[in-house]
Amino acid sequence: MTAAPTKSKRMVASFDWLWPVFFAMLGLLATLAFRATCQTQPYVIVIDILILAGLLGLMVVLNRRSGEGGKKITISVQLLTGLIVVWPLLTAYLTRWFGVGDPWEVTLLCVLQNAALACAVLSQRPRLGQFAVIFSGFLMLFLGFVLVSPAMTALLAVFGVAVLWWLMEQYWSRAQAALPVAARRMVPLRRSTLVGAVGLLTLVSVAMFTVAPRDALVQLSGYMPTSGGDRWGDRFARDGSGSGEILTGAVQNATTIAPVDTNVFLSSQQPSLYDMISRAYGKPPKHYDKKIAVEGANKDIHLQEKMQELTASRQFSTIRKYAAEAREHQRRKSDALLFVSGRRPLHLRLQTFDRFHGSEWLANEANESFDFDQQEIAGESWFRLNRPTSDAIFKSYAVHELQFVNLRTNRIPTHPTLVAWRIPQIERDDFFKWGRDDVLEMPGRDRIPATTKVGIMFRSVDRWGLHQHRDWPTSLTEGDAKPEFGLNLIPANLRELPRSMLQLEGIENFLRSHFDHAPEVTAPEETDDIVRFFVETGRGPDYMFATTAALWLRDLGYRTRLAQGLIARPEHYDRETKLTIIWPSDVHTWVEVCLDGVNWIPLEPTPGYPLPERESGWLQAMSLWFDAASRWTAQQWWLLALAGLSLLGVWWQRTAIYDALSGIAWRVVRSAVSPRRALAFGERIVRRRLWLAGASCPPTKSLRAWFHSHRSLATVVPDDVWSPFVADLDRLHYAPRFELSAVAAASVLQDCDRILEFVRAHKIAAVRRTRGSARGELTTCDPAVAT
Amino acid sequence: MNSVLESTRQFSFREISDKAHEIMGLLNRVILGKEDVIKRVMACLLARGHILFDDLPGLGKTTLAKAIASSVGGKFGRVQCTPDLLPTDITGYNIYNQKTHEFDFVAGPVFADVLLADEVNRTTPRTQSALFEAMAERQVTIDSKTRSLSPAFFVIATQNPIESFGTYPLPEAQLDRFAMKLRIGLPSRETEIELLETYATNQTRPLEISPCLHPGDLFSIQEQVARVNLVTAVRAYLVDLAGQIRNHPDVRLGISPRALLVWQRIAQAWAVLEGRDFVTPDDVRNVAGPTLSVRLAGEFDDPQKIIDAAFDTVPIPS
Repeated sequence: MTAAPTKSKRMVASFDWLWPVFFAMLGLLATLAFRATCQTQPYVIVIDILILAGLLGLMVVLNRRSGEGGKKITISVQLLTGLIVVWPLLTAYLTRWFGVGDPWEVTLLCVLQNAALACAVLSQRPRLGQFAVIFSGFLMLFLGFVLVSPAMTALLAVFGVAVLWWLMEQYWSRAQAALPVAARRMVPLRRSTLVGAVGLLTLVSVAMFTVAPRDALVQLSGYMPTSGGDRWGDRFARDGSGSGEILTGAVQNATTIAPVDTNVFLSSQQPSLYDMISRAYGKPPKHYDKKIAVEGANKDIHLQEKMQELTASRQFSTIRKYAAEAREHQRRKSDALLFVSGRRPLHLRLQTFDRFHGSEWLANEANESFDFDQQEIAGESWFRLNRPTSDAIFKSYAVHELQFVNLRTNRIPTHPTLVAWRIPQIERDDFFKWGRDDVLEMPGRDRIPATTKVGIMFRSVDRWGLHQHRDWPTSLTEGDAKPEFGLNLIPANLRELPRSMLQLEGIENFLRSHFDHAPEVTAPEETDDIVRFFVETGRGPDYMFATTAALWLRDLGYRTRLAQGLIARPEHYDRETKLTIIWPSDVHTWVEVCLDGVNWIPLEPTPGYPLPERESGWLQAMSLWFDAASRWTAQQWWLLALAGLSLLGVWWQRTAIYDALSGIAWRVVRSAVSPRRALAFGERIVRRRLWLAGASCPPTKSLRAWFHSHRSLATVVPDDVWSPFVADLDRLHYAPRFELSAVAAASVLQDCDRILEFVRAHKIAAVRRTRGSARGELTTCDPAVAT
Repeated sequence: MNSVLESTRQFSFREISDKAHEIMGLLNRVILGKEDVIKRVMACLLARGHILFDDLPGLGKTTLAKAIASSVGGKFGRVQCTPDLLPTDITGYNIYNQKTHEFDFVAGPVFADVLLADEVNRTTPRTQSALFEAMAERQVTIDSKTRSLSPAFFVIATQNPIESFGTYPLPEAQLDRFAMKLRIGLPSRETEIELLETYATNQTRPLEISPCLHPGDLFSIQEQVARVNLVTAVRAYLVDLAGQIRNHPDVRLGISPRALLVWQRIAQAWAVLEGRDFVTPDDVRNVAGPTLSVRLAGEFDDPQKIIDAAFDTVPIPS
């Protein structure tokens, strides 16, 4: 009498070892991911894993041979466990000798990982299985904090769900021993609940991936607080701040945080703003012939403009030569331009261009210049810009700190909505000047000294306020020229949008989603319509995106300009220093839209670059989402209607579709697998088909009892059709052996064929509620059966 | 008397099923329109259980018992239980033989293959216990001497539900000796018409039943029925159901392990009657009502509701 539960419990318990193994494998994956970011040589990891797999395999074999189902741990297994645990320590000394090993903290993590794996192998003992889970949990949590990447987040999410499930299972398995049998059925576990929970978790995960800021750990090669080398395995990386050549290297270059002797660092350059732009985008071709070709009065005007441009050094041509060395330069990691603290992403402009002539952007020197004065904010002295801002749009204040490293310019990268700035120990306002192109600079200097720290304060833009904003400046200044080419390419649906932030975001999203970012694409020198070239090519560098966006928006009546500068990417954030590093590859061009005549907001039309941060509450975000969704729905109504009709058709004919598909599947399965498996498959088909017909067999009833008790089923499906089938099922499930002769197997398959064919042929329809019938009845299209 | 032990014939499950259906066919000719009751009685017989009929007089209980005895080729005995009935009236007694100067044993009606104990709740508890010893252990002890009964000893007891005056209700512990409690119930209108036609010319019901089994075959069949297969999942299903019923808040006296064994055996017999050599959850369900209703006690009117609730809660194994 008591044999049954014991056996059942044993069967359940026999799969308990899977959980610790699963968790340990997750821990292993997380550790491997971390080691990969630590720049451990791949072959070291591969060799390490192979040796570990061999040792664990040997442990499994020894454990099985030890008898008693592996519950007794022999001396050999114990010794092997110890070897596996200390193996990373042993190999650390060996690999360090060759300069390819892991740092100590990684070695200790490997020790923990091996302990988890060893405990998982020995998890027939419940206590060791729990240890495996605890070790894996520590690994996952620790690595989840130090390693931020989509893969790690996914691993952490899987681990979280799995460990929650494991804990629930542990709880219920223990509770069941103490609870009456009736309580087992009270476990609120239904398939729909499970599917719903997993779906919800997936949605939340996707939302987190989409909405949450994404950070990445980037090694500060060349700026690590080490004494040399940019890899963990480098010899000097573990020697501390040394002496001799290391110390000399440190003294000669003060920009290093700690003494570094790498050649890459010592040879790093400090590019000027022009060099930086040229490196990023290549140099524009020289157009001497154009000056000659201009005649008469136009010649004077053109020359006058050209002289003005050259004097101001404020021009940017969209026709450029792509320099291969620019890409090579971007791969170098040793010459960071700037460190930025605070939230990312951040668009920091260094120059702006208002006027567009042919293929060149020119700076407008006629912008309004703003005064600034010194104020004390939060106990510190700041220079505050006297520029009016609207509280309806500009909300919270954000403070960032910029640390100059290799950026050689007298301009201070600032956000478009800059409010104040400060440099410690500089309190004279004549050190600063607000330039005509809306950029802050330190006049009279060639560059801002390296290691200078500049605090900037700006106001975040409220997305809701932007969407409520209606007074977008429409008047075009003299320099804010409206182009005449390539603009008929604006999609009609974007043109029809109301003049609002929605339209701006529409242009922004359209460019981001329909064009590819290709830095190597350059326009031919004879190109006279850069927008048309870009649209027809379908790809281009970021300045083409920005140019196209700016010109399209001008055509729609907005006041726009091109902004060039640096972008602080979230993926360049370093958790250890809490700083975002700006490399030369972060030189970027985007577009700015005038909000009220004096304030400008950035738009990011280039895919691959993060969108400028715009604050919004969840309620406002939902409202905007519904607004956008309703507009999209209105635009795509025919597509949605078609999809809806298709879904309706599928729903209407769901039983026929299921019959057709299950018929194909049955024909494949019955000839491919054993009669036993085929019969089980047939049962699943019939049960699901009954469910589709609204006569789902409850789990507390057998199919035989269900056919007996369900009035409609008994009426529609003849006894000689279902009775042999359920008799076969009884034998399949409850007979001690299900061994069939060839004849019997054929008979079983025929029984299955008959009921499936009957269901298919007579189209047992869904439950149709009839008047006076609470539960509804099954129907069939076959009049013979119906009668 | 113990001729049943002499049979060594081995029956296959198919033969058992055929024989059982043959007997049921005969019984159905005697008791009209009660196929379901007869099938349950047959299951009880194959499972070596005893039956308690809780029903009105005149519904054919005696007729059924006699027909069963005839069909299995066994000896029929009958006891009409009254308040003055003594245990020796059932078990038998020793009497001094003046010719031989020895005590001769006069066997009681309990020494039969099929015993009908009519209105068992009208006799005293002392007499009842004598009967229940025979039912449980298939032996009686008279004057310190134990005598074995027929191994296929089968008791059909009746009790009248509407007469409470002068009766001795059977305690739960004694009810547990019965494998099933059944109600024959009144026949349908058509059955009664057929009954009247049959008895229009005869005063008593003719019992023209020839035995279907040789002496001793019944016990062999009963032993074979005990070998019907139960997979572990079905056993676990039985235990889960029992636990579910025991934990029902209205149940004061749940299912004992002995009852669980009886339930399992009757399910095995039912599987044989269904032509199978293995038990399915449907077999367990089909015999649950009459098997469990005799032993459940508590704050409820209809034990079948408790049983149905358990079956509607515990999933069937698959």
